[in-house]
Amino acid sequence: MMRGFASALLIALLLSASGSSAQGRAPIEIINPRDRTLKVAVQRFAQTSRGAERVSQELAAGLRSGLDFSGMFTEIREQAFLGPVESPRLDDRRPVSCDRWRQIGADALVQGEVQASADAVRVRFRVLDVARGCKSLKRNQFDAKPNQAGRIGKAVADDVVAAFTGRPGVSDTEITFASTRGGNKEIHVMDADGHKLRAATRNRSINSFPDWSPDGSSIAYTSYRYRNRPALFLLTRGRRSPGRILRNMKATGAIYRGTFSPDGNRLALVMSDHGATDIFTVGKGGAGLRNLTRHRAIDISPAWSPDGRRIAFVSDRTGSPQLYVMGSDGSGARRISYNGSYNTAPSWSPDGQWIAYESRVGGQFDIWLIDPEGRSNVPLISHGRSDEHPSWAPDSRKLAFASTRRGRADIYVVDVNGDNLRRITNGGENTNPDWGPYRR
Amino acid sequence: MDAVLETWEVQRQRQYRRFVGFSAGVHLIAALLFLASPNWRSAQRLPGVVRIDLVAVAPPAAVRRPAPKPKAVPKPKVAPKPKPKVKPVPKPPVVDKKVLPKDPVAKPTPKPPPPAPVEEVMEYEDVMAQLRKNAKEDFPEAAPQLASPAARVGPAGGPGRLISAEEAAWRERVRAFVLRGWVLAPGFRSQALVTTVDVRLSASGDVMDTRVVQRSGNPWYDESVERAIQKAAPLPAPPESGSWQFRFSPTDLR
Repeated sequence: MMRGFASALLIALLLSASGSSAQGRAPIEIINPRDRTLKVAVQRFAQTSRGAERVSQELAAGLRSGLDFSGMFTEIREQAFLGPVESPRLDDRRPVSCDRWRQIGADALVQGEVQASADAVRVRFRVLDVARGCKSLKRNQFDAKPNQAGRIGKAVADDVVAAFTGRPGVSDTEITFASTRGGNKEIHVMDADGHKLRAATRNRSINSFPDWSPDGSSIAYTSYRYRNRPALFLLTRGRRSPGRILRNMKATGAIYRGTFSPDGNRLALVMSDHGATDIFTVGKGGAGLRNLTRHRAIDISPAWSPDGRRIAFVSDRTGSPQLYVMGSDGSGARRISYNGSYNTAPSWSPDGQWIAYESRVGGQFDIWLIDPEGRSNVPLISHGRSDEHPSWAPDSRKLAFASTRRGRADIYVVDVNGDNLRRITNGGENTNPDWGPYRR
Repeated sequence: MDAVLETWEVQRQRQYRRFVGFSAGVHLIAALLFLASPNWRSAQRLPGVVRIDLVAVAPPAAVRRPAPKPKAVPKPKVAPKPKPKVKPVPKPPVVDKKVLPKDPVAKPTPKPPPPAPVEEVMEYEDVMAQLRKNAKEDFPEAAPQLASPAARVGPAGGPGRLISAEEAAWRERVRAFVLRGWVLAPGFRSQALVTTVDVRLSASGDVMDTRVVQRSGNPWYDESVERAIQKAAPLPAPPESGSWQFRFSPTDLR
């Protein structure tokens, strides 16, 4: 009896000891994943109306290019599918046989349906997380005109990115830049992947430094078209002739490089007058002009923080051009860059984490990232020739910049980790990119 | 010619006899010398072997001291067993007696255990007693009897390194498994995100359940972590089923 009790006690002690050791173990550290892409299977969207073939094809092409542009997804070819090639209709309540998608290594499954009429297209879709039992991550619906099917495809792709990362992709965004492809330096606009290029100005003057308004409806730029002196102009979607802005400002000198505040109500700009070059802010209508720098040195290149409370800029007050950050009222200017003798063209990431800028290294410029406090400073793009004028995509995961690596300047886009570099322009000198906001 | 041949033949025979005689003598001397000297060497070499023999033979004869001790252990075991159970009693002794004299060297030691475990399954205390006494030989016996607890006890109470070596190898394999399935969006890399997940694993490595115990603050990052674990499933069989903790962080702060 006693013996049986003792042995039972022993076993109990033993088991409890082993149980507690399981709890007290050190965690298994999983760090530094390799750069990989999520595998996505896109089923052909079900057509719920006749005559949707062409629209479906354009949609699929847009979706494919949008996923590719994200750099985060690799599409699994239809030939590898074990499940059906065509998507079920979304009101089909039958469960998805997830194993078939898991077996081909899919992380994501995209299903949808298209309804097209002569003047309208409706696309509904959903994104499923295959690894987690085909849990539905996102559903959405887009209505558009039939000729916008490709754009809808990109919008779907951007939503797929959002389903897995929380921030939409940026394939359905635009980039504006200055280009000499027509002979003169004019403002141009293109899709973020380089497609649908079109000229936004044709004034045969010199136009540069385009800057999107936060709502994407207009572009402020610097042009010499008025009295052959630099002044700010505003180009608005749907309006034919761009207008000179800030006409009533009492400036006698040159005005450059207007940049919209994040709320779109003010502009930061650079004004040169009587030998002094300073940074100002002014209301969109020209009221409330305020000199933020009041320094004998040259102060240029204002870049708003995403919350609108601070402005990064460049000043040579210590002898060489360096990055500074100040309050948007001009208070508390503080130098943040100490590496290198020439740092300029700051661009504040929309998520507030980084300021991208160009830094001169060995006679040419590289693109670097620095945090707004100036603590960490890392190179992003370096090349034997110049990489200049970085501009952040609205998702803070990509940047556009101009590079002369092929001789003539072209616009490139790259992921914030340096991957997925691609050139998106060809022909002429292409400079001063500014990546537009999300379009919806 | 014949006579010449005969004398030559006779001479040859004589020479041959002499040679044989001489040769035999030399061989005899050599053999004697050899027998005399190897005796020394064999005497030096043999003790090891002799000891082993005696160890085995000892129980019946009880000649040498070191031998009886190990032997004494199996015998008492056999004795207690029979008491609770009536039938097994006659059999084990018979087997032991037969086996021991036949194979004196190494076999006796492994052989007694098999009969013991088969009949002793219920007697956990006896197994424990044996474990404590035969520190070196407890693993083969304990493992088949009470698979997991006994296996754990051995290493935990004794060396302890055994588990850590096994576990370290397993951890390394699991790390590779999970890392292979983890896809991180470019923007997440530059952030100081740390997510800790408790993963309940079956003995065969199936992921029974995941629970995020420390969130990174970014739900999509947390999801990517859970996804990585689900994609890696089933994991290599863990040294121990139950809850294992995984901590995910991107270290590359570009």
